[in-house]
Amino acid sequence: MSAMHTDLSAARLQIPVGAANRWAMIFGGIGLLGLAATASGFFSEATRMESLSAYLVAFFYVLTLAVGAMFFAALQHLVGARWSVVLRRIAENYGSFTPWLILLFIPIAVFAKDILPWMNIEGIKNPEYRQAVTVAMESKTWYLTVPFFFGRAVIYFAFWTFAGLFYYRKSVEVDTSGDAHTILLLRKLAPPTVILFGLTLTFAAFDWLMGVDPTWATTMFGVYGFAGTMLSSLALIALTARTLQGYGYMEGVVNDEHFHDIGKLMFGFTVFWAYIAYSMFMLIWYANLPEETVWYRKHWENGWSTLTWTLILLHFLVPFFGLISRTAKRHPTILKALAALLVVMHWVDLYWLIMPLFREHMAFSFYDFAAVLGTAGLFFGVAARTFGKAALIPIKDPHLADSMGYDNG
Amino acid sequence: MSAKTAVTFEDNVWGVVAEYKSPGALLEAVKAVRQAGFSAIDTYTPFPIHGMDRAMGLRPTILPYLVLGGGLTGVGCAILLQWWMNGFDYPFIIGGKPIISYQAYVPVGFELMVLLSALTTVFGLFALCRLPQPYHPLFTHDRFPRFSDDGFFLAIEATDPSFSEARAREALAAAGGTEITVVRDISET
Repeated sequence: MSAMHTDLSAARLQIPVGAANRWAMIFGGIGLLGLAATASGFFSEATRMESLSAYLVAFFYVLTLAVGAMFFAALQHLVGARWSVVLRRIAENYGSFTPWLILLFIPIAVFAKDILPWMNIEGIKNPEYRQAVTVAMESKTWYLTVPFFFGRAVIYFAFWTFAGLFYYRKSVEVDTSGDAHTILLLRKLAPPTVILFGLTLTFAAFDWLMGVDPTWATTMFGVYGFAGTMLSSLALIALTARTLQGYGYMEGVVNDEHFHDIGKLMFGFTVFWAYIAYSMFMLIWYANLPEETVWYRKHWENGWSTLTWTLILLHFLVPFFGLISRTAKRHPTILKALAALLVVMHWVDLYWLIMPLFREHMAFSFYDFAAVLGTAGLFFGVAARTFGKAALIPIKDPHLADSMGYDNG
Repeated sequence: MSAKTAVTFEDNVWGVVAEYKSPGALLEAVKAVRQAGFSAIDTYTPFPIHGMDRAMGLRPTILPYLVLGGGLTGVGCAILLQWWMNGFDYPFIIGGKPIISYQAYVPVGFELMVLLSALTTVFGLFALCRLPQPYHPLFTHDRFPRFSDDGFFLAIEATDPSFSEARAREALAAAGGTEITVVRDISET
């Protein structure tokens, strides 16, 4: 069986460096323009909060895409998955973006006092809210301190950088060495990687997103972030693979069987996301405690209900019914369109999560789009360059033949 | 045993069955037998074999659509049920919420959807496979119980337009089958 499926001579598995770099320039150029436009808002008192909040959403967006892709790669080693070998390099490429997150974190670190009210309680203008934060801080002072906050950030970034680069570099190393021991090493490190991924992503969401309103807390927050992260990374991998095939790459290597399976996972995590979102909402809605319900009230009134319904429709119902059938999962255009939708909706999801805490009325600003084009442009620019550096699949992975011959039956 | 030896309905042939050594051998045999022009074939194995559906040329099952219908019925019924009971039949204010609070309909809607989907899956499968079948002509074949243990059976049924006992025997043997046996339908006695 193996001999029959490992003939790679006909498949285009290497993006020419020139083409990859051209894409890197285009994406990177858009990214730098977007980042510059966003940063211009930081320095004026009038636009600071508008641009900072937009940047926070955009920062967390690429953070989840990169870290989620890194998680996908580690997860395949954890479970010893064979079907996904041909898709793993795409995840590894995106996962190797993690060191850049440190750079993107700088504005958050510099303007932390503006974003996180607990860092600057005296600066809170609304006296009632200042009182509420002061009371809330009584039980949280041990956790919400400036040194501990940045200490945690250092741990997150150290882990993400290490794991993102490690899973990328070791995998590329096997492309030339063909050494199965390297794969075993990656497998051995997968359990701690996956556990640390869960912890760091959860606490990063607590620190940087939930911390925007220190008076409110839910233990579901981290899981909610994870659900969106996992779903968007799967969608990103499917979208990338289908797009590359549109340019004639990986044909005969990645086939309908692989898309069928990643479609199944996307379908599953679409349900998981909705399940978690509703679970987070339901407990608060039922209990009806004013200090908790106020958060959802902010996400509902003054036009925000439109965005809430948009999420229910486009982050759940459309992908749910769109991905439910076998035909749709295997159909190139349908899967690609739904994957693109989910990648975009993940940004809308994070926007919905954070923005009502900064803005009373629902209204998109110029900075929202500048910021997301900025971070996503940089993300795809760096990724495009990485895509040109090595083959598009792990060409000497011991399970490559199994993956190429994979059949849903 | 005595009942079996007494059967003399020589004409009532249901089909010809053969045994194969392994799932792989069975898969190849199915391809060969279909190549030889037979289409009314079926396989009997202890476990599902990857690629067998395609090798046998089975058309996709309609079960998923039945399940979707079951699930939608479940969620629809659950919403109607809660809306009518809480809103009209026995309106009661709970936790200071409006009488019709659609937010609360989700868990019951989800559960009924899962319940009806699951029931449709199980009973739909039974119906599509025409189960339970207390009698099947193959049950008269002494070696047939091994299909749930280590036997990989392939049968060519008499309903096949190009069926003849000799041709079927020949095709099954050519594909590597052993223990080739003619199976008769004794249900009409």
